[in-house]
Amino acid sequence: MKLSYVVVVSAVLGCAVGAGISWAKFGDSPPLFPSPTTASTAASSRSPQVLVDERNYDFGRVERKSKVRHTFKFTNIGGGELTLKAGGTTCSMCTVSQLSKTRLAHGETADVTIEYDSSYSRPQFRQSATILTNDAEQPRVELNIFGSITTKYQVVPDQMVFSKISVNETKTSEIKIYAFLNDNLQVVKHELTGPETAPFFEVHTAPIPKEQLAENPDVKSGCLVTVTVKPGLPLGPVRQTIRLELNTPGEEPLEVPIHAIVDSDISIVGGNGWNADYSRLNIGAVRSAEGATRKLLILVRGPERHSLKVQPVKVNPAWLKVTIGETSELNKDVNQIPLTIEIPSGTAAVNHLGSDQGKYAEILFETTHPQVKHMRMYLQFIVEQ
Amino acid sequence: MKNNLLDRISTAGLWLAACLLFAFGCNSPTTPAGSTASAASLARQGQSPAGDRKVADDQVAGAEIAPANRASAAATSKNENASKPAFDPILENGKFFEGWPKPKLALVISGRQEGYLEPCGCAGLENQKGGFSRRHAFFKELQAKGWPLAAVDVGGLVRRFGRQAEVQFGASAEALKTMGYSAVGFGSDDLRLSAGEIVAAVAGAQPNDSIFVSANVNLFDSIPKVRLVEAGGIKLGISAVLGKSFQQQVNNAEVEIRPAGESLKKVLPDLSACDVRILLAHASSEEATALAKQFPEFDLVVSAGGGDIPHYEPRKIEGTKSRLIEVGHKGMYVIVAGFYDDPKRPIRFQRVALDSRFEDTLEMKQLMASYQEQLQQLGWEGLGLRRVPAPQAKKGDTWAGQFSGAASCKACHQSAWDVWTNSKHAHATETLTKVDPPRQFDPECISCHATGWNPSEFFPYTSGFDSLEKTPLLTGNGCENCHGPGAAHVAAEKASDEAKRVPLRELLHLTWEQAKTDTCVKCHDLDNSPEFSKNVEKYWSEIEH
Repeated sequence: MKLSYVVVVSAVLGCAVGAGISWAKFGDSPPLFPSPTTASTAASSRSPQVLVDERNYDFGRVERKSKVRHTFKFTNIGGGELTLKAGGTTCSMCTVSQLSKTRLAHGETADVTIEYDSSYSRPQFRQSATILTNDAEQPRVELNIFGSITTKYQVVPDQMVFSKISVNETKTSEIKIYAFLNDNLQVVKHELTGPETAPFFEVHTAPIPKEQLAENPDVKSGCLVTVTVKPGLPLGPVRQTIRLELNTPGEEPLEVPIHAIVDSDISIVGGNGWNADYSRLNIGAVRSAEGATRKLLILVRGPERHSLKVQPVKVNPAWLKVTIGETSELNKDVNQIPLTIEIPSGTAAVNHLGSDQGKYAEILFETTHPQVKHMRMYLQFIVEQ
Repeated sequence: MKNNLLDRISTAGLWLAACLLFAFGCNSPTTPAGSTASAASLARQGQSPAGDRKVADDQVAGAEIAPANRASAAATSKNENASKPAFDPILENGKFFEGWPKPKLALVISGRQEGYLEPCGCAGLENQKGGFSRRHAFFKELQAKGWPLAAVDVGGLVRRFGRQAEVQFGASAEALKTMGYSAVGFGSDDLRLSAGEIVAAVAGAQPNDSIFVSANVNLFDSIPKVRLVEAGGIKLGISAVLGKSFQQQVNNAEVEIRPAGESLKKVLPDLSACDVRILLAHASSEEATALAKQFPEFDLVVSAGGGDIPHYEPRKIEGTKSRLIEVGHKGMYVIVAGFYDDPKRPIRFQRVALDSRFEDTLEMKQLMASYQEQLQQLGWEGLGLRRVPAPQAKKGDTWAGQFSGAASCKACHQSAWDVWTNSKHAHATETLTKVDPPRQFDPECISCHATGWNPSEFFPYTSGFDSLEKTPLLTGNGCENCHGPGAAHVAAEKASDEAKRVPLRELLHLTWEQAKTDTCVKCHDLDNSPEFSKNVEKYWSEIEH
């Protein structure tokens, strides 16, 4: 009996206290037992629901080697507890996410801070961080950050490449240095770091006129660096670096790599199956009834390019048909001579695959070039009936 | 009577409980139902209610959020107590194609491979993205689902210059052909290579057979200006251009490059009969957008610009029907455009991270093996790698800038030797010989896995590692890679040359502060050791001496 009184009194008190608190705090709160029309809302509100204030943030211009942060707000607008967990980022070295809390009751908000380290970035960056939630409709929330890196200087292109130059050729290339803070950029000193090939390079620097910088309003001034390669570099790849000291005291000089491939005046360009390393054309299997034709180009650079003559002097097997076409200008530096090689239809079965069963076929060319008097080319094929 | 009382107790208890629940439940602030719905709806649409740097809706990355993979979430939760949870690519990068019905055509869009034929693997393959093998596996998965497939690439297969880049370009072109690409453009770094090598890699039996395409790049008339392809019953018309800013980076007399706009004008009539027109613009996003506005005939414009990670949802180009698609860099992602006969939603997009959920394919493994074999056959000389003196070298000084090998340090630095010899650094070269295919002939690998190479430019110093047979003392990532060439120091100590001893000791002295900011990161960089910067002290504890 006593128990029943306690329970009844507790119930009455509980009701009174609960109702009192509710009334005092919220006035016209929703009814305790919802009407059938609001039942579904209440059912869904038992689940956590995440609301994110924004998903993309543009940092704008960011200084290199700096760390920038932005905080996104995650709010639980559902009924159940929302849990948050930092998932991966698209760059684990440069993008980090941090959560102010991982469990959110209804109405609570958490700060999700994304920190970006611009040390590793290219001129433009974009990264994402994933936040995992227990919201059934948004289990993965992807936050995106982007921006561009402010640099003091930009070198365009960032390296100087002479794709292919002839051993007898003089060739020039340029790079531009754009300054974003300095109104009057000047190269006060330049130096080539590779002493072996330095005598073959000539460097000239000059300011870029202001009117030529108008395209990019962020550029304050610029400098043009012209590098001329003189004849006589050794054949093969050449690596050099130009160190440019600018009129900004206390700063490290800019270093721009220079790459070049020095080749002979004459080279052959083939299509599918041409291997320049081995001067070999792989024609593959040829049906005797059909024969095969391959077209290549002989490219000629340097002072001999207009007058150079080429002719085949030794063809093995002799039935191979080799035709040299007319010289024409590919561009101001290079002339081209078409070269056609034909395996005539009806040729008897033969193996020239380069194995024990048959050596490569071979063509020896004679040229009028004073240094490149002969060129040899190998052909790899098999003729089948 | 007893039952009545019990009923009363239970009813009163329920009321008490309900009242208490009500009282405490109301302590949390409530949101009006109406505002909840609208806020939730905003959230579902991926819109931001506020933000001073808010980005246009069509750039919103979370426009289509894939539901979580519950199984994988559970797997990670199970591992939460482990020191390092197992990497779960689905948890990291989400599921793909959630809610997609079978498309009429799935068009895979890629680009900017930049020489990353495969992820490095140094820091664990599971948390790295990209590589041809995974891409091929992804293609095969789509094909296995019965989805009609086509693929295009905006170019930029390599990013360096020299013989290895040419070999990489050839291997990459072969990979794209094997995967069945319909069209591939050129990047500026591609066109810096020897034109002969480019042509050898891209040419088909006839000019129109090449999958490489460009409206404004001419390589001895060996490549077509447009590609017309039919896939999934859709006629695709594809052209490509190299943009103005990228053209400035090419200085190759054998390659003819014309202005992009002028060239596109000429090829547009060839695309008139196509259902979908695609422009592969190896250009900045700004220039690609301008081209899209100048040539609104294109439905999709693929750009080589933008950030490292592609947008989740391609951006609509204002005033046109076109979408601008960026591909990110290093081939870590592809974008898939799904075409449907649904007038309300004729196209869907999915960004796909090429992560460790995709297995290697046999074809690509063979191709990578053949690439490594080619490097081995060419050797350092064939790859055009000339040995250069180390920065510490001095004319007339026999020992300056010369490497002597870690073993020569042992006599005086026994405790440091003990640490090193039991570290991964000591076995760095051996590691390369044990992977399949072996990578010790690859300059991009050996430069950090042996002693005496430039780690970021991938060339050997004069007395640096040559081969396991010729320079066995220079295997491993030895002491001298961090401290500098030590032969002069060893010679001075042995000769008790007091004048040289002190300055040479100082020259090789390296503090941990210097090392972690300038030295370690030359190898432990973003590509090869993505976890390093976050765990510098942990890494140091493994080699502390």
